[in-house]
Amino acid sequence: MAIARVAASRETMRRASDGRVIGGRLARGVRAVRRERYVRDDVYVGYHHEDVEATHRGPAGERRWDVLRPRRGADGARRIALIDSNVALHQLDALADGRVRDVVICATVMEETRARSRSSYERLREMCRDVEKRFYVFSNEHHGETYVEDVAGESANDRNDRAIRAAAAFYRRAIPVSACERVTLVTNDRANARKAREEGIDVMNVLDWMRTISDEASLTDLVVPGGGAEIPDERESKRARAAGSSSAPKFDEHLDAGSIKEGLAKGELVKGLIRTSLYNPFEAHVTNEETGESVFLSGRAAMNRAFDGDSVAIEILPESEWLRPGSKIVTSDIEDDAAATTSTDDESGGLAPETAEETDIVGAVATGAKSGVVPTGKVVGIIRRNWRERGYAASIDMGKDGKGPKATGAGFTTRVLCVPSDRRFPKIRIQTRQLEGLLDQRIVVVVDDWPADSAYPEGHYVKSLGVIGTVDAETQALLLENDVDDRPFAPAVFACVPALPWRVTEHHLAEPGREDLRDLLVCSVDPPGCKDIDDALSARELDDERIELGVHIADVTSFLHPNTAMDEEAARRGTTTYLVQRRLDMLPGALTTDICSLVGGEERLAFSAFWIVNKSTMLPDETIKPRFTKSVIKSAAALTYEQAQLRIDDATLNDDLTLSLRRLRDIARRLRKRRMENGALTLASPEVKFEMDQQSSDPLDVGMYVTRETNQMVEEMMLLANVSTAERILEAYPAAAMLRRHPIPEQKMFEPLLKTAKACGIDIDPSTNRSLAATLDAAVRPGDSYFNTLLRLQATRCMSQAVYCSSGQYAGPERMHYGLAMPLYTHFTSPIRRYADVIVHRLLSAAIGLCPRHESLESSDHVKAIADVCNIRHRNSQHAGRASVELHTLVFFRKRKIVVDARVFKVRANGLIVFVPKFGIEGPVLFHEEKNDAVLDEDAMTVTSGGKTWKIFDQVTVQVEVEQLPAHRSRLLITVVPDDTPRGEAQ
Amino acid sequence: MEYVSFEGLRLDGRRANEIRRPRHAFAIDAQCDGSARFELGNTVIECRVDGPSERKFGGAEEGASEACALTCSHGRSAFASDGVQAGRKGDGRSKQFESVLAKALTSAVCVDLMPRCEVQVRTTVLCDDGGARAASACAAVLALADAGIPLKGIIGSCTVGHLDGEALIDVNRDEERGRGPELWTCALSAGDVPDDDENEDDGEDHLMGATGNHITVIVEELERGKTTMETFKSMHDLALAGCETSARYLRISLRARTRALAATRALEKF
Repeated sequence: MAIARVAASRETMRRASDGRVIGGRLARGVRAVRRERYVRDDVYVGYHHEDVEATHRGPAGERRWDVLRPRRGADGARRIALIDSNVALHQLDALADGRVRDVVICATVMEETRARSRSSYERLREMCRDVEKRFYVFSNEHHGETYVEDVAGESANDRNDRAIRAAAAFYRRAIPVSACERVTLVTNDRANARKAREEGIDVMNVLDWMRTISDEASLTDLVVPGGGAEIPDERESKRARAAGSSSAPKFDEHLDAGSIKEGLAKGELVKGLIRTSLYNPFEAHVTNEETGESVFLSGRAAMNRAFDGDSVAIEILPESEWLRPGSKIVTSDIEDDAAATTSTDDESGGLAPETAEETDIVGAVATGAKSGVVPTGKVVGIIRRNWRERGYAASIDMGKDGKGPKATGAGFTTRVLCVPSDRRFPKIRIQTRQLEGLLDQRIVVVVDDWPADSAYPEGHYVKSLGVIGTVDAETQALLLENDVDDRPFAPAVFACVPALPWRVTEHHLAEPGREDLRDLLVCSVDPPGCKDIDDALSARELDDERIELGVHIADVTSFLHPNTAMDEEAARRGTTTYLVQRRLDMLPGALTTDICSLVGGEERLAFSAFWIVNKSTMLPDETIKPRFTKSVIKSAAALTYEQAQLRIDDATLNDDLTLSLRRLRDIARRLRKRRMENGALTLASPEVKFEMDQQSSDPLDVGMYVTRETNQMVEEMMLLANVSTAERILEAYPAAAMLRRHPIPEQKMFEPLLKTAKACGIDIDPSTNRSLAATLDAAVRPGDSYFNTLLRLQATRCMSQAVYCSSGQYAGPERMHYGLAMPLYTHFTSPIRRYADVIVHRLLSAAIGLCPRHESLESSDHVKAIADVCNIRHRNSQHAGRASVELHTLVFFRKRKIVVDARVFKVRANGLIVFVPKFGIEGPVLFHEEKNDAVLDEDAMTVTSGGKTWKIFDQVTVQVEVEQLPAHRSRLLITVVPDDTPRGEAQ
Repeated sequence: MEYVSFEGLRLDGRRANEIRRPRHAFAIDAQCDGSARFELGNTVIECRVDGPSERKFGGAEEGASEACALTCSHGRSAFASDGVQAGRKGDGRSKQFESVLAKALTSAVCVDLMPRCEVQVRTTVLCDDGGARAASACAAVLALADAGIPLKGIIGSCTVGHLDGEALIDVNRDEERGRGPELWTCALSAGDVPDDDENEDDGEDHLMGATGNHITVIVEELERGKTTMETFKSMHDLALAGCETSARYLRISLRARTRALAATRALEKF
């Protein structure tokens, strides 16, 4: 305990946000805030060398480990580097490289980074936490020798630069040469560098500094040229040359923040997020943030350097210039810029999208207006960039001829274009010294800047993922694109896992509120090969009238405690991601597949829910509340769906296990019937399954997922458990329960479905979920069993996804789950693989009085924040899973050419979009470009070309193969073949 | 908002266990029997004490306590804080504080020595930069002593907040805005300070370290309090240490004051 040692007081003036006059005689809107600042002499400098004075090693009790351990670099000197704010903001990829170590970051730099880019700050913070990196944050603003007073008339930037220089000078004094030869200030700002030199400080720019660490291209390529500060002359001229001799701006200059604000206030401009069309990278739309109206943008000039996801200000063009969004499928990028090289881009066939969010919104807009023209605008300014810090997966642009850019020889800097894998993004120009090695690589690039005089954004290379087209590299790329973390768990996370082999002990049995249910007959039913079994079932006959139905869920929260490294990591990952060839766990493997997994014959901890079921109705007794308890269970068997089905169907089997399975099935049937009557929708999504070659992990066969009655049985039990849990936690915590909600779709979202149905002569009534379910059930065509499924696929796409939320966000009826027709729903049954379930487990155990509610779950805002992260993670993980299936489909077809039945799924002016049920593929079939005689009838949903007419949902025979494109790229090519072509593998 | 930096320094440069720099002045108001000003950083409190004087009201009826009655009144200047007024004179919060403070001070005053008397303590917040309650208690102790009221011991007081998962002693206004739980503690310290502690130049250094004095917790008030037991425990431990530090400061101040007075009255040794 102490009183702070040396004190100085600083008065700061602050503008009152509301413009009121506070504090008397100051100018209007300005008030004085007096803040104390304790300036000390005992701040640890991060270096515990014996030659460093004791006061700089910090007071007793402060962490004293050796943060900095300068080693000799390429120039033979030990070096401690201090970086300035621009380096911290713009050179993160270079700083993140494992070879860059022993860096001191002043608190001033941290503060400025935080003010300017939250995400850069988080990343920098992460590096400082990494013990291996040896980055030390020095509290220079609180040290007597480095604290600088504000000088009147000096800009904040200059003041901060001065503070950093003072820190550099102090470090040189504090750390004797015997401990470290060089203390270097790293800055790309020439004015700052000059001043530092005058003050006798050792200065370097980023590139020179990197060269002292390593001269390898893999490191120096990471340096962003310019880096947001003054650019050295040599580079400037190089860039001018590269951008073409004419320095004429290729885009209109963006408005500055002030003009944008003014324009928005006057209503001349519109603010919104820009979304590039999935089908055509030259079309985009911006949804007006206030009115929700959509504004169409056509061409790169109108998009004016905006990236998908940027928050932009747009100007709406006069009505005479309004355009009609293309109802054509665009398969190649035709650059409107003469200086740009053209290339073919891929509109590859892919998997069918599942929900409304993923389908082409521009198309939906187009159908809305009669004449076809829609409000059209152009981007005049960018409010917030959405450039991904983790970068974009890309490949080097090989040009039209496929030969690729000419290398200027190893070691020389070449400027090349990179084509991002996601076609919504423009090509990115990078500069590299290792072009030869990158030509066939899938690489990661980060965008740094897009000046108005450049046709393409400027970026830099970060790393390569492997050879293009290989499953490994492409999987890495899709994980990056979807922001899924596949890094191994940190040692701190593993430290939270109990040691193996783990057993249930007396200690567990003695826990208050834990029941010993080891004698209860419990079994689990899962897909084959399932290792993370998180649910098990039981159905015990109590007497002649009643059955006790039990659902037992892995008790993950007994191992996963709040405020541990493992909990933080799980919250960050949010969900387990299932790729075709592997699983990216949310929790360490020992928990996922062993300690928590309810494997057969092992005693495990569980969270159990029990219902009393009347034998007369085979439905849970409404008058008796379900009972929840923590328990110890011993699963009798871990069955697959198939095994369970066989047992149920085998009339000769009458053992206890089979009998309870049959009881479960009977209850499930009744539950399902009741749910259907309430208006639950049976929605279709094309799930496919790969059979993999064990050795090469190449897909051998692909097919739709087979579902059995046992699947539905387990599903019904899980629904029941989830609903009961939702009711229980909502009762206990009305304002802060984690729920899963499926919003009622707006009627206009059903328009595509209604149009299709009308074209097919079928009546669909989407006014309520019950009417929709009923009319969908009735929509059958005799002799065409798949017609109904196709319609359901379309119906599914009209709806948005279900999302997690906090009960405090929505009033009663808005919490409903539309698809399941449940007034309340949550996720309780898969805590091993979903973080939302972990939260629900914690809430439930608090609700039944087993533990106090953790403080992080006390307010609706907290729960909402967790729910939001879970939603993002869930969506990313689903996208990654689908991308993985897509990738494997491509690999599968690489060796085959297959003729299969397909259905017309959409009609377009220049082609069809067909759906191949067998493989779950959806992709375009284009008519010949030269015979462009196609006629599209949007009402009848037909397109006529070359004397042949296709109507929506028509049966077509197609051949699916892989088309090799220049630059190592490939895509699925779907062509219509005559109906009498034999099915199966073609020659 | 990050309240404790990675390096362990708080927004204003203090460490978690450091209180702000205290300052004080005695006899600021000649109109009353005793007065003092106490500052904790930018928080400034003035306290005036009247008494002991004959009790004017109450006590006449049968069975009423013979002991001295201590009453408190607490006010804030209009300019005490920059934003919203955190409690005016006479509102619930302020009333509550008055009664709690009176209770705390009563336990330190030798009430039996002043039968049928009353002592009035008036505290005013001139500037509130956080921790006004703790500073008020300290100011009151100094003013009581200045008024010559016999004390059994010294009451030390401090507030402890809990932000970023760490208990922080003597939270300032910026930290109070973090809306974490806040614990205000008054403790009676009955021990004494060794005699060689009076070198004023570096008196602060002597304030560090445990004294082993006997400490009695008198008042603990938890605000915005929804904490777990562990959180509370860590705050409580820090608060006790903080009370001891502040009691020690007050004791040294009082002794120095007494010495100064003795010197002006040409007394050899008081």
